[in-house]
Amino acid sequence: MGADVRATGSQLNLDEVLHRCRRGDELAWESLVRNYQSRVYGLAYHYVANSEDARDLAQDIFVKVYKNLRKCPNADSFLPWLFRITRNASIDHLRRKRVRPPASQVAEMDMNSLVDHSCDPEEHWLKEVRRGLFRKALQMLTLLNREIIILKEIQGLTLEEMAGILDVPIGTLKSRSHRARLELAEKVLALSQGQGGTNS
Amino acid sequence: MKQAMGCSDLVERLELVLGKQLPDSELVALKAHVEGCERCRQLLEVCRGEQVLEHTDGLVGGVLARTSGSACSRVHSMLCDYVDQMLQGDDAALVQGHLNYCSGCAQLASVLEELVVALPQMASLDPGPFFTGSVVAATRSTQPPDKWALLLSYLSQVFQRPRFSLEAAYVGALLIFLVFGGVPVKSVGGVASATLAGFQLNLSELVQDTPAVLSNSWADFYNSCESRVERKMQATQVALGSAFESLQGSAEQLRDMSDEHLLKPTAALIQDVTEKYEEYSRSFSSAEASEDHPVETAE
Ligand SMILES: [Zn+2]
Ligand SMILES: [Zn+2]
Repeated sequence: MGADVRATGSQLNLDEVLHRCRRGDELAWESLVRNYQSRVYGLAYHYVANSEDARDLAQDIFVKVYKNLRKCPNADSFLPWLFRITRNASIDHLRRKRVRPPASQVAEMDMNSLVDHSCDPEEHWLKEVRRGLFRKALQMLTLLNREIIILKEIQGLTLEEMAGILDVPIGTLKSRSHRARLELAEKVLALSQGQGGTNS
Repeated sequence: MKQAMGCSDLVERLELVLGKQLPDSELVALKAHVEGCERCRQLLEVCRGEQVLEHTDGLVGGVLARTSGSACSRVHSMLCDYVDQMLQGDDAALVQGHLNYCSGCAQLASVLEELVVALPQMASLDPGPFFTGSVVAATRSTQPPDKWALLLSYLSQVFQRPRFSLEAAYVGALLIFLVFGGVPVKSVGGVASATLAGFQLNLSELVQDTPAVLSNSWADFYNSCESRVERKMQATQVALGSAFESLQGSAEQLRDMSDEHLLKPTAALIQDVTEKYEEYSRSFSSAEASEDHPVETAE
């Protein structure tokens, strides 16, 4: 979960870490990768819907980040900048593959979610099943609606930040974002009702 | 004989029943029907205000279908705001009212509520224990991000050091004695080394004269000032003199050291290379000469 990422991040000043990275400080770079790898991997995974592809993609993304650290903004806009690179690389990857993976092919349980291990295994398992369903439903949306869910609802970006990343007017995003959520909920409902017969 | 009553009979006589104006004969027959008919019993209870209807899907739906149309799409358009608790007063109550009776919208609302909590928790995924290491390995081979930033930050660090001027003077002295230290390289031989030796001789004379020149002019300056300058100046002079002496001492040490460890090996190396070069050029010219002869004899 995001909580532990933020926890380690808060011990260090991001501006200082970025400054050190630009000077070629390997230790600072390693800590930056460690702190943001799960966000980058998580974001890439929701685009490409394949853990192996997402891992390779995330590594390429970090190499790209390293080479472009000079262009990297200050700490406040680091995350949107990182997400922009991740998003563009993911879209490029999808374009290269030319196929949008059908929802049925989406692996539901091959995820190493960052879960707190305090909750009991059964609860964890049920949570994972549910998440698998959400991912499946997400893959059924149109690309723009999917991106709105991924960036706004999952990654928590603002409409302004999203407009910069997606190159879509804020007004469009605003009016589309409710529609996208509703559509996702409808897909989830349809999928879980389809499963209902076997589950209950 | 009393006629048996049906559901439609109750509906027809509803106003009379509620106004207690129904003839007893009919009332008995109607009661007999109502006792056995759940629907009519409920209708009576509702009409008397004894019961609030709970399952009016069919009724309200039927009315809406024949009037304004279904309210569900209107509720859908407000559902995200409802879940986010962004609806103002009446709107929130109206949507809540709809959700109490419409199971479809209620289910949708509960999924939306679930997503609000679950989606942000899906932002991070663990890419596995080897990921960081592989990224660091992949970036180690690439160039450092910014050589200019590296240089600038190094320079700014250097200039910020408190003893920078002292260090600069030290490095300057080091350079002067390394380059123009009067170390004999005459033994190297060749035109280039002869020129260098001549140049160095001039410079070493200049450098060796410098302390004398400096101390002479210092004495002149001191003499001219002595009558006017107080004890403070004398103290400064003593401090400066001892500083100069220690500088001279360390400069001599430095010269001996560089002589021993840097210039002698370098001179030896230069000599070695020069000899090798001369040997090579001799053998080359003799080879050329011996090649020329057969050509000449052939003609
Ligand atoms: Zn009846
Ligand atoms: Zn409804």
